[in-house]
Amino acid sequence: MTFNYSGGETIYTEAFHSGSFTINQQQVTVKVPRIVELLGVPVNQADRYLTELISEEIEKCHSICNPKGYYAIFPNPVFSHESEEMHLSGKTFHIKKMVAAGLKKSSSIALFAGTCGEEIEQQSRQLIGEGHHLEGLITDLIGSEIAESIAGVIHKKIGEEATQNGYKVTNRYSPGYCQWNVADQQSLFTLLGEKNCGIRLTDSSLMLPIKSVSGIVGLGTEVQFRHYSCNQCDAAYCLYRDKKRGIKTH
Amino acid sequence: MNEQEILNKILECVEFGKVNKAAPYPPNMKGLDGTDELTKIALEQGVSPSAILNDALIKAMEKVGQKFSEKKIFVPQMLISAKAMNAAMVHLKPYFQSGQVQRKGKFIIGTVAGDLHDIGKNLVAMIVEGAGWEVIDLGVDVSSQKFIQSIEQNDQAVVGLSALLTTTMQNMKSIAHDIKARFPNIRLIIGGAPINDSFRAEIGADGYAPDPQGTVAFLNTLAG
Repeated sequence: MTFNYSGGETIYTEAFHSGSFTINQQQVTVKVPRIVELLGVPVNQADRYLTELISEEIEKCHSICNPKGYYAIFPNPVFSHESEEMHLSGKTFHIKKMVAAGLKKSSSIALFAGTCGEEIEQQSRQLIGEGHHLEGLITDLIGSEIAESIAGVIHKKIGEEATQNGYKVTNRYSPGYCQWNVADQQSLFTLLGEKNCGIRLTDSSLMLPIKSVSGIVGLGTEVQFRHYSCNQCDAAYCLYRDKKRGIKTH
Repeated sequence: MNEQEILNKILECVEFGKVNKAAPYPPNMKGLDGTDELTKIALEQGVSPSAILNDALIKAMEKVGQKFSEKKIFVPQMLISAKAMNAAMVHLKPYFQSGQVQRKGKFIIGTVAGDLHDIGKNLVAMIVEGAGWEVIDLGVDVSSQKFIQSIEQNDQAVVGLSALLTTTMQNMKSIAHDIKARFPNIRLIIGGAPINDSFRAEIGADGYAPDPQGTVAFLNTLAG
């Protein structure tokens, strides 16, 4: 299987194809209504003070963030349907039913990581430390949204590469979501190797900088983009619950 | 202004989030004194710090909590109110330190070992303080040993554990076990995105709260 790649820095590791790239700040988008929603405020009840404050904080976050992305594509995943596992390049991922259902027809798997850097979380901590809790919380939420936007950019890039080579891509899935144990971050980052945008993993599988994303995307001729099955998951707290429904990246 | 009038003004400022004269929020109170100035004036006029705490600040935060529970206001307004409350608390701090003003009790809070998330924990700490509790915030990545040390130094304190990750929920379990083994009568409340009441029962904690207001409600049942 050959894979043509254009743009960015091409790296050949154990993966048969990979690329790292800096993401233009204009490519990451955060919308005021989404932050209003994350704050738990009905959009029609957000007063002008709040929406203006969010706009100001979005502008500040955009000016200080340093978005980066990286992905590596590995061939021939083996799925064990009974145990809901995926074996890839010597590692076992305990992906569970929801993720397995999305990936099972993949002929190769893209692993990815992205980050908006440490600046936004530092800004949030500083604001809270100074007693500006609302501004600090808004900044934190913007950081999460920028990180998710970065994941979207990487997903799109993987999708473009796939299309050029006659493949389609699945949804993206991340450890810690869709009932997939976050501990699998360890295997994911082992396969990504050192070209992982400078993201470090703690023993508890927390990514540092905190405003980082990681995950996997399936590639193949038979795969398809599916609606996320949020109704099958009991994680009512999930920041992205139902949000990805209907999003297409290619 | 007599004592009742100034207490009412402080209460109003906290309820609607007027921090100080320069604060632009809320727009209909622009240019007026906020809790910062009014608390200072009240103390200068001889209003007792206990009256300011109990009859203005805590009452205001109770109203804020009630409105939040009824979905008449949301997290941003609650945080602005808590900020206004904190501006008043700065003036009351010397009276807390001297023992002239008593709070409802002590609340030790921390994000459990292995977890560095603190946004939710900070919000809880802020709202609990606004409800009249002394908050001892141990920060993030807090070990059993650090919690136990703090409990030893703060007799009768209630303890709050926070975790955001499913992996660190397991650390929460072992920390809860260590605390309860050493202090069987300590009251323990847990919270964090992946936490639920089943997990509370599993680890033997006394309370679970999905939000700051729930923590305050739990603490108030203990304060009698």
